[in-house]
Amino acid sequence: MKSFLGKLTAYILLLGTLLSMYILIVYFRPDLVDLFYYRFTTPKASSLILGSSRAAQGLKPGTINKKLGRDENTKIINHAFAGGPSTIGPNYYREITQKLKQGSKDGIFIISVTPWTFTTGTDNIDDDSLQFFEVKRKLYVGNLSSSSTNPNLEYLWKYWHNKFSVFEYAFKYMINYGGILRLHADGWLEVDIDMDSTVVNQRIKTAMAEFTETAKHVKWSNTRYFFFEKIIGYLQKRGEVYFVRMPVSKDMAELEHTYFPGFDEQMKITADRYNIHYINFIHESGKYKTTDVHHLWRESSEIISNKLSDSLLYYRNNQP
Amino acid sequence: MTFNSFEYFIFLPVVFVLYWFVFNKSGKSQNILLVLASVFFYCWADWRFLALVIVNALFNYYMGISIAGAKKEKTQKHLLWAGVAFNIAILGYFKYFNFFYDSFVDMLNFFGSHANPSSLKLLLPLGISFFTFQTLGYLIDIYNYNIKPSRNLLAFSAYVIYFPKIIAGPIERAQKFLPQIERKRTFDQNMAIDGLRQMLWGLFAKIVLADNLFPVVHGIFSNSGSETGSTLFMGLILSTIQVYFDFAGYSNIAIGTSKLFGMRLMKNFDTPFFSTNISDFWNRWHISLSSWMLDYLFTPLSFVLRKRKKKGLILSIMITFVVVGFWHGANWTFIVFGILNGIYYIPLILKGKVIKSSLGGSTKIFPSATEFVQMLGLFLLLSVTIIFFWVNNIAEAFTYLSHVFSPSFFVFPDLKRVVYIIPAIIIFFVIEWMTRDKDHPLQFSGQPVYLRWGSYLIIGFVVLLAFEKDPNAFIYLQF
Amino acid sequence: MERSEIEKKMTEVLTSVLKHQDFEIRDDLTAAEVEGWDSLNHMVIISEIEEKFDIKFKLRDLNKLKNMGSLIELIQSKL
Repeated sequence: MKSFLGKLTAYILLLGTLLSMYILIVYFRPDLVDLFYYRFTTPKASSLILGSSRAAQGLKPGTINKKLGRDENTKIINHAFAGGPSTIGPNYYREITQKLKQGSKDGIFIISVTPWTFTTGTDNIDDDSLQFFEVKRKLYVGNLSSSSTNPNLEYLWKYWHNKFSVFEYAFKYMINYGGILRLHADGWLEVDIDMDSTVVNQRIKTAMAEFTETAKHVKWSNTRYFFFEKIIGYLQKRGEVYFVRMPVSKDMAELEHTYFPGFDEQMKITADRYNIHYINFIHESGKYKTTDVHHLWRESSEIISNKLSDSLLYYRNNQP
Repeated sequence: MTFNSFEYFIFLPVVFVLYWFVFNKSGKSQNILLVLASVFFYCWADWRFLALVIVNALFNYYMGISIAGAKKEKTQKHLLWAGVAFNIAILGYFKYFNFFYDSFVDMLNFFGSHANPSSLKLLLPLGISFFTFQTLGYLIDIYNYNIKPSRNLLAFSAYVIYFPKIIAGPIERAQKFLPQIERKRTFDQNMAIDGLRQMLWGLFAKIVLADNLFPVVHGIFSNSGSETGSTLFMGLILSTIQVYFDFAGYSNIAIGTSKLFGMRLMKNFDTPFFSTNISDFWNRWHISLSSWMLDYLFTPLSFVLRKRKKKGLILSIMITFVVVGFWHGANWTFIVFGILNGIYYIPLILKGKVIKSSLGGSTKIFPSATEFVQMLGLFLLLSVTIIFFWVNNIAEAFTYLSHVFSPSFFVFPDLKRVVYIIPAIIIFFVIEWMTRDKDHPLQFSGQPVYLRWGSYLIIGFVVLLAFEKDPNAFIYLQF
Repeated sequence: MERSEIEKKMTEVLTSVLKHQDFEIRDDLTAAEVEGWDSLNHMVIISEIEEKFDIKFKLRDLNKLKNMGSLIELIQSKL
């Protein structure tokens, strides 16, 4: 029995060593985990880009920081996730309060708004927060005890579903596999996939069918809007808030116009009430290359980030 | 609690330590612990039907003693029939009530009168098919004078509820199992280490392969209307392999676990896909069930029908396989699964002899071309039956199969979702082929230490990475 | 009936069912050693034996059979 237990202990220790080495790789390369993990390992910041995947892919903090001359201490990071997890609601609110540097004052907060992030699939539009997808599924956003620890073991334990991702990356790297999704330290999600027009058109077709179907079923959620205002109130105490509506493909812009006709008006009213600038690119939809129906291609992201920075500079220099 | 859950890997070491360090004074104390631990294990999964397991243990314990104690042969026979009827009635009530009721309603509706489908939706007690068949065999063995009834209620209860096998088998024979559990077990290091290695191999098949294949196969089946024929064909093959990895992996974990407690369970899978004919296959696939069916159903049936010679054999085979199918679940799809397997036997019976597998004990490096073609052909025939595990009704299976043989069969299949898993499957079968004479592939003999430990570490690491806290329900649990 | 005669008749039965003679009747011969004598064919052979010797087996008796020796004893007890 003694030698049995000895061997078993040795085995468990060796296995533990292997696992620690694996986590060490992830410590140096958090981007190899998945498309979200890196965001929970970077230090807290005083300025944030918020929203869903449109913002995650479309807004480059690097470009904005350079234009606005923000340094290591005041730099903006992208803390937008995707439609499901970072839809505006109680979880995202918690996440934002957790990622923000304590006691910071002169931050910039860019909230990318889309009609989809205010919707719910449930009937009860007034108090439905417990039925929100991201709440029910206990998604990572707003559900971790820390959003700025490297390695973030809690995330790795609870949410790292494809733990072979490091090997997968190594394999793709070796065979020189095109099509890379890469999350940068500043939070920008770089999407470098096949931009051949027939492939893109196919993607647009499938996505449009899905979005049209979804649009028929979802409703405006007053709870989400309540949390939107709560987030604004929280952020305004710590800096300036801007709304931005990202450009999308022509098809998507039309779809949103058809199914959510009052959305722009609603955003304008909210912006005015809180004395916020609403920078709206929706009318430029179709002008920039998208990878599918609503995500900007990486070179389009650069252009939009520059344009947005120009607007920010203009507004900041012309403060009333 | 399932074997691939996180809780199990807390439960198992605790029971192990208690078993060998605290309750190790006598066979009796060991069995007390095993019963307690098994009750805990069963209740963790589903406490509502614990009473059913207890009833099974008590009833069959006393029934066994009564059958053996009866003076007249006729009384023995009556008691046996009463025992069989009682066990089957419970199984029938919980597992098949809805099926019969709904089928009856369908028939009434077919003939014009209207009745409502059953509103009583009974939950399936965990493991009921496994422990019911186990104790049925026990009673029949006593009647046939193959064994003496157990006079040790504690040991007998441990036999019924023993946690490594309560949920999904193997369906143990009293003859092999009772002698082991009735005496005090002493720790055997080689056996325990072998158990751990077997568990490791089972975890690999279950967690790394089966659980990763499941979403792929499920995706193809739930989207079968719009997939190409070639992808559907791939789905057919992968679905069969998935069921094998899932159940064989689970069985290896069960058998390995049991070795840690000094008890051998029977082999449940013996490289079934290297079989060259259907009879060979059923000698090596879910052995604890197929050998049960052979001894307690097919043999009596063919005895009764022996005057009809080959016709009697065919009839016996067909009945046996309908029962095998029905054992899997209360659905017509399983019955079709059984009938097809039965039909596959007919050429063998007509030919007059069942060809013994030429591969069984051979140590050849490669199979011959003929054997290889036979293995492949048999595999495809079997996939056509295992598809019935995956569909909701018979029509769905036929639609699926008809879509396989469409012009898009010649389109290149969608391999993107299986890039990583196909090499893993190939490696698995190559290893299985090379170690087919062993109990399990990790039973090394004579290899250098770095090779042995290297294998354990790599497999353990891969299992750790593949481990999901929220695993798919084991496909055989519902049977 | 003489034991040798039983053995002779056994050979005839097996030859007619299995269509070969690659076996030698001896007490410790088991079914597994005889090609073709498997679980599927078993009852066909049993039925032929019953006809040849004009006897009737009980399933319970058959379950106890271990080898040719015990089969021959069983036949003898029925004659």
